[in-house]
Amino acid sequence: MGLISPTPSLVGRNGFFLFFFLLASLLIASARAEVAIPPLTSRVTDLTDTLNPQQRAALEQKLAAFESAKGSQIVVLIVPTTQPEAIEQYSIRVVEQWKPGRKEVDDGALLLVAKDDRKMRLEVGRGLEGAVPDAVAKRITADIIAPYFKKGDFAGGITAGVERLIKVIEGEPLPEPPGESRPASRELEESDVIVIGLIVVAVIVVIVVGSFLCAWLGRFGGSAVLGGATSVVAWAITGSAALSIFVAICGFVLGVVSVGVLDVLRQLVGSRRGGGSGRSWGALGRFGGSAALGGAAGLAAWTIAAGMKGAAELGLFVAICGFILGMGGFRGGSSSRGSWSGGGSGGGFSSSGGGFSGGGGDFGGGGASSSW
Amino acid sequence: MGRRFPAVVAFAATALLSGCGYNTLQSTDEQIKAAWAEVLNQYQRRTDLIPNLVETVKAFAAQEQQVFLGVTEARSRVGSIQATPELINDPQAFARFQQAQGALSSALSRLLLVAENYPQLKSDRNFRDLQAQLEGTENRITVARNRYIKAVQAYNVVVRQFPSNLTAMLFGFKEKPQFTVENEKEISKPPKVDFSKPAPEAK
Repeated sequence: MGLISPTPSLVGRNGFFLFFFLLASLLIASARAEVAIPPLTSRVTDLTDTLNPQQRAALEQKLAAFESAKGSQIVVLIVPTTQPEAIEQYSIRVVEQWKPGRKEVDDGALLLVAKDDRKMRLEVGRGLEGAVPDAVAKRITADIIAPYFKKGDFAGGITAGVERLIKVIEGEPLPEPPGESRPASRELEESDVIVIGLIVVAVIVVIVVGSFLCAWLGRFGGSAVLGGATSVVAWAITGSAALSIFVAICGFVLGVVSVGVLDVLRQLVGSRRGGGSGRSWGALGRFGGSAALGGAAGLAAWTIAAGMKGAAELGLFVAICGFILGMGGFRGGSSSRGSWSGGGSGGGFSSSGGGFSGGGGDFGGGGASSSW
Repeated sequence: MGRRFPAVVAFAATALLSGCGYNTLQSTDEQIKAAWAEVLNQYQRRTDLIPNLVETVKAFAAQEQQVFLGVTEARSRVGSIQATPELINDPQAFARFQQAQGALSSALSRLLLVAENYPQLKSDRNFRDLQAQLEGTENRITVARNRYIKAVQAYNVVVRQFPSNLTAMLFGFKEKPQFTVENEKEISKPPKVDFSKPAPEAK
């Protein structure tokens, strides 16, 4: 307040207005508070305790069986109300967050019931709009489910609606559902790309560190120390002894090979200097070389992650890392190890947490709403 | 120093282009284009539905000439505006397009309002399917418009924020028009049911 008004006589008035402004905005905010979207943990989410555990389990089993047979994901959500939003607005927010249906196939569907509003909506993913056009969605909600709901039979209505929806979707040719090796057959996802990016960065780091070590301890001594160091880091991160031994061998080999590569590079770059470059970075100098290294590493990471969310940030991060490493600023191994694991878990995805999750299907607002 | 210079320039250029928002500008601009194409697509879908809908309503409520005329006129006005992707670079044409689509929205809601007065029409299977399609399309339009609004918002922030605004100026990226609030209200307004007028079948 003191900042807003320089003279004391104004403080009171401005404070008064400020107070009312805050109060008003608080009231507006609370009046417009939207219904929160529950986390997606199973195929049937019932926030009203309308379904008993047996009905829920039966429905979930039906949906799971259908997903493994056809690949299409159907989820059910029962909420008390969607007010102040219209059911369509709430519904699109739910599917934008849950993303039922396979990625690229977009064969997800959501049956949303707002019990106290006496409204329901069948939200249909883009890939199912051919099998379930709006008119069909309308018939399922208005002609099949609504009569049950009118009698108060929610479990019966939802089951009947889901059964009809399954029948309709079964007529649609969709890509084969993945077999048991689902994670293996999936396309490259964002998390995979981040992992690959990290591996690339790790290899670059190992080469750079290795070149320093080898320049200091000789080719084999440096490589041995490098192999040992990488294995310790790998062991600390993963806790797997077998992996750390494998990494140690990789580190050693990389050290031996990369020193050769760097020697060639250094000679190429440094030859203009007349061979006097020694352990320095050659013609580019330490700063320039580090900058080039950082830039190259960043560009490489950015290219690998191209099109992904956060690709530019990853590239920039890698570029900065590369620059710092090039400058020989690789101090405090523990802190940098922390940032590695942070980078890994920062891209964490709900799908790795076990349980049920959406497959990444896209929705365009197709479907139909009905009341009862 | 002289030898280091090219490398420093290369690094600076890389850092500038990625750090000063050139790539963000490109990707957000592309997202706007995609979102706008979806908006046009859904508006087109609605326009395509209209002849069928009008014919179906006509079969049951031939005397509502005024309403049919309104819808047909609004539809032809929409058709007269070239709905191209370039529309988003021309604020005036964008506003005209919005206005025409808004007029068509209200003409259509009047048509559906009239349909309420004909129980036979309301229970007709064909009409119910068409109505469901129209509702679904209106909802798709809303979703597409909202996504366009979000895409434009993300882009406009990049264009106006420092230091990416310098990059935007340099490469000629301009702010994109947004759907306006007045129009938003007009379109999202629920149709009002007027009970003062006696239903035609009572006459």
